[in-house]
Amino acid sequence: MSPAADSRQELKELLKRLRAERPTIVEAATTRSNAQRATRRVIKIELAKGPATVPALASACSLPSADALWHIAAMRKYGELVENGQDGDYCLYRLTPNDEGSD
Amino acid sequence: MSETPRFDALVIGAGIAGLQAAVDLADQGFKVAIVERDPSIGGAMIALSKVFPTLDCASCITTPKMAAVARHPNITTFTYTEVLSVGRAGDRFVASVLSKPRYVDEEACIGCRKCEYACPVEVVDEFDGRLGARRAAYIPFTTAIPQTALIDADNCTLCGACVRACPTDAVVLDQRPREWQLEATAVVAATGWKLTPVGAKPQYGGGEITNVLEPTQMERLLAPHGPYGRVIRPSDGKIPESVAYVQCAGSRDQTLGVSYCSRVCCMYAIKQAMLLSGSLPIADITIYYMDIRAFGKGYEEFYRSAQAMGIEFVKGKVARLTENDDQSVTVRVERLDQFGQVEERRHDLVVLSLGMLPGEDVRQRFDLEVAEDGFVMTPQPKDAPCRTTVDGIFVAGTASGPKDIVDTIVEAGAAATEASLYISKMIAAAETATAASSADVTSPAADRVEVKV
Repeated sequence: MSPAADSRQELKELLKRLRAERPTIVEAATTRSNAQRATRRVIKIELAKGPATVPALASACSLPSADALWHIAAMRKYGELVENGQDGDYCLYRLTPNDEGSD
Repeated sequence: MSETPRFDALVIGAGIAGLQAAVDLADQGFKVAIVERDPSIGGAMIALSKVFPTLDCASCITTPKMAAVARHPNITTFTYTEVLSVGRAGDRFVASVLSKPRYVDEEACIGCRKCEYACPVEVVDEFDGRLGARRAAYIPFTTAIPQTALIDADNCTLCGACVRACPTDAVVLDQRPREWQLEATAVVAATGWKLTPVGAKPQYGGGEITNVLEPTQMERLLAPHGPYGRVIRPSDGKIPESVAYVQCAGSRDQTLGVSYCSRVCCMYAIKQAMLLSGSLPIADITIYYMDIRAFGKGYEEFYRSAQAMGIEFVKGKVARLTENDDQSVTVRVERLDQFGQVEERRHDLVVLSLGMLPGEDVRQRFDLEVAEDGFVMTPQPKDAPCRTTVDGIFVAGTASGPKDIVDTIVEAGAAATEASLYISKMIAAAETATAASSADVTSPAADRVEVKV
């Protein structure tokens, strides 16, 4: 085996061992993460249609508006969306070009 | 570390008080260990937007002090490390400390954040007042020192993305906590403060109303790198047209067990109100208060400026906060300036001016006595306010009671001076003892003296 393959195998074994050491924590984290990714996919599909406010996005995605805002904050922090003007008392958000159409 | 490392001083806590005390001691040539339980130094101050009464950028004051500590040749910084206990051993203190696992090799990590960008898990970010998000692999904030990533094991799915993304093989997923000891001649406790709980008063929503914020959350909303990049309501992102502050929401209240004034709430509320006037120029800002305590240099003028800017000060007792269907908050207030008339007013956002509690209970870990209010007892508050009930342990900053940044920095300097005098005295005593003992055993001169006597 090449050194890279060795290293991949070592990582695989380490992750397997650690998952066995803390199964409950890893399972709970995985469940939360999967749910979060599913929500994020829906948000991105909505935003791909055009800029939206938090209440509009929350309504379209059937999410509490506070949760929708949290996702907006997360996506903004990691460069997945930007502000795009205002609609009344609310900011509009749109996907950054790299994220348009993804997921 | 096989041998117990020895320092002249141990500073517990790397907030602004700990940083100042460490630098002041190190500048006098003493070897200092500073131990911080969080992954970065900087404490509460680094999360503030601006400071009163000058409205200077908080980060611009804190970051240079953080850098001074990190680069000082006489200071060794231990982050993500907790002091478990401090006990006396002869003329020195021995501290048992626990270095928590970062799951990242601190020497190898170059702070590139590739692990953070690769991590697929997002969680609530405590640094941003639980309003924003961070990844499970992360660097706590932009100006964190050290710029070393860590992995939040409680939220890690063990997908291995961080390991594969790291260009320096720094991720060590099987790292373990390490308990070890260090020795120091003197100790400075700078263990800081925490907010009174937002949910303590059921009549103020018990922490359940989304648009009732803690003051530290508003600091993050006002900060340039805050969670939303601007001030909006956490419930739905609305740009608020009306913001209110409820003073004494966690202090001067026997029912909460906090009978004292927290000394900073009036001024931080005025400061935030002034900053809000800048970021939300058409919003109405109201401060509901019983007394305004503007005691420091320039504070009264600051208060007057806020009034001149159009911030409304309503003298009254807030009885109740209730959430409306549109997620605005109704404040029911008894107007003390209008013969006790009861009024109800709606606001988009309400900030509770919460008070200060001791950062931690120092009794168990450090064997220090505390005063009735729970803060570190200072038996000589007038002539030696940094001395504690244990000779050789000194206190700095809010560990001994609520105080603002100015007083914290002054007191940290005083604690460093007290500690340096104590260390010098101990060094001199040790040298005298050594000299006397070597004279007794080996010195022919000493023999001659004895003969003469």
